Amino acid sequence: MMYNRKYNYMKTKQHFYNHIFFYIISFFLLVTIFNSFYRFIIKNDYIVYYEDKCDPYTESCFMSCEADSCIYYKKIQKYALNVYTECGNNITNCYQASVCLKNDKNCSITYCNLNIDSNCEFINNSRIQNN
Amino acid sequence: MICYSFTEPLYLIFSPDLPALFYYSHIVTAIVAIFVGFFVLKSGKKLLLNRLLFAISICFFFWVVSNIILWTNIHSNIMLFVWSLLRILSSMMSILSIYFLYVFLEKKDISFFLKGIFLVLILPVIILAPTYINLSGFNLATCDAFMFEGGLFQFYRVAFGILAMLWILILLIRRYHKADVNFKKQILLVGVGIELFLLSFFIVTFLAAYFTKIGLLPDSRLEYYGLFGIIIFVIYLSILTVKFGAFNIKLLASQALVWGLVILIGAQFFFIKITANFVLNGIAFIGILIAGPFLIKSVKKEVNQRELLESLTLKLEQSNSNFAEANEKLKGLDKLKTEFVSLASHQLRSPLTAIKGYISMLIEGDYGEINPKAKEIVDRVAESSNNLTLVVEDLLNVSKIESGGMKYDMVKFDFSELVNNTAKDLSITAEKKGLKLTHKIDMSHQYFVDGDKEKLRQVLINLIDNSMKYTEKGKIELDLDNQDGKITLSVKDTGAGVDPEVEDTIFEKFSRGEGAKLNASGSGLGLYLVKEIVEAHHGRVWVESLGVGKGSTFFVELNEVK
Repeated sequence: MMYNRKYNYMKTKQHFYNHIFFYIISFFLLVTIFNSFYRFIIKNDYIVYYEDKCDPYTESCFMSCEADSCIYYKKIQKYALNVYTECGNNITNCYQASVCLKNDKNCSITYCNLNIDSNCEFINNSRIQNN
Repeated sequence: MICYSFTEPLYLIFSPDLPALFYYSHIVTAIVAIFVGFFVLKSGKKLLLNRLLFAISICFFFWVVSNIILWTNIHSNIMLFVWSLLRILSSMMSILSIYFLYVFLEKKDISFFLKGIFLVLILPVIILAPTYINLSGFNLATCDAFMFEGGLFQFYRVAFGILAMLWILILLIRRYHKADVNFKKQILLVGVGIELFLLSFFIVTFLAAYFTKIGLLPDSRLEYYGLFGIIIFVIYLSILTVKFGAFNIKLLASQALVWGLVILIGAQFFFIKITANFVLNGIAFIGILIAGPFLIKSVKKEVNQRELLESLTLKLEQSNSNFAEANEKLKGLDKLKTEFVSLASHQLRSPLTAIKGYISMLIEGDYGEINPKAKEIVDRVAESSNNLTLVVEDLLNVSKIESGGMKYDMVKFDFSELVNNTAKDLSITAEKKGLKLTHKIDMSHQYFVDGDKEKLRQVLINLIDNSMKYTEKGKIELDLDNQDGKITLSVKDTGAGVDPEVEDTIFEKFSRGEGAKLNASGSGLGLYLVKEIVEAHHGRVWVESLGVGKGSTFFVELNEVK
């Protein structure tokens, strides 16, 4: 019986060494999958970028025109968890998504800079807001 | 958070924004990959090569599934989760391809050191994939994460992919030079297949992503085409399997063809928009599903029969080879036996000659009168030594014939004279046995033959002696005749006769019929010698008998010489 136990142990050890590559890879894969799931699905630990409506009369807006119609937008970057907490899954028609609140992490609103981008639209001379 | 510019897909993966080519390139290739993977694994679960190919196909399958999710899903968190896995899967495919090729070329597992190197190369990708180093954010406007991918991580990943392809190429070139002709073909098939797969997959997906990132392309739809690399890889693997039986799979070309057609035609359903084409495609699909198995079955049957024939031929060749070997051994043994018999007989001759000489001197009274009782015994000794001499002579003659050393002194002589003299000489012996030996010669004919007188005399003695041995009572008649140049001598007796079953074998060595019960002293070589000598004189010998106990007639036929 002692011999059988020792034999099984040696066999298991040999099996492990022969397949060590796959065991290590599998371990780290599992850890990564868990880590990724936790970060993105549970914690929403990432930044989101989106383009929000912009009023060219009051703000310096980016412009995108197709045919005869043009869209004016500003670029917003915010921490996903904050946006999710404030607006849920859908950020359309959500005021909090369009502004940087006091507690917002990594929040920035980028307006079009006439000195950099020629495709800007600023109908009135309002100040550019930056947080 | 959902991408606000995009709509939710139908049934999880069907988006109206995507072309049919997307589904064709993804679903078909995923099915092909997983099917091939499981098929190969099933054929050799314990083989490392099969497991590695299965691992590659699984990685590819999950990569395709992940990509479908990325293209159709609009939830940022899900897409980021899948995006992080996508990079791991493409790097895994590269490293597994190198591992696969090593095992294929070397026919054994790689070293511990090499495994360590692979781990060192792949682990940074696996560990860092879900971190900020790889992905820091998501663009809800374009519904992708290109702008948030870490430059260093991407650089490492791309360099890794290129390194893998170069590594494989160098490995193939080095091994190709050392390989034999047959293995060179296999190396080419695997090498070209795997490189085309990695090249098309990596370059197109990388380029599509890169051009999209720098704004040269609106999106990365170019990557659809890269996925067809797996089809190319599968085609090469199929050729390898059919031609060389790789992965321990016995695959017929017809099976590969039918399965390929099923997948190809079946995949068309995703592509066809016109009803008429849909119906026609359906008919073709059903046709293949019905006819395919019959085709495979008939081809398999033919192949099995051919293989059976080949194996039987091989066995036959092996048997023939064994027989030839055994035959040679037997010939050798036979030769040894002949030599032994000859040697033994020569050794017996001299003492026998001495015995006969002294016996004859005793009988003739050279050593004085011997009393009647002693004379009787001496006579028996003389008879036994004569018999033994005959046996030894027979053995010597047989060994000479078998070794090809029998010489014939051919001269023209009167055969009837020989018959006459021999019959007279043996008639005394016959009388002593209580038998009557007569001879009849038709003097109206000539009986000249070209032959060895002594040997033919031996023939006559053996025939008459044979008749005397197997005739208890009655007579032995010699008859000589000449018909159309054929001199025929018949020796007819009223003895034991010949069983029809042994008629054909009576002239063989050591063959003794039913009559052997009457006589224990014969060597069984007398008639064999008769046959050999007569045939050496271009004659023939045969026996006729009405059966056991009904006497027999031996015939000798020789050609007359004028």
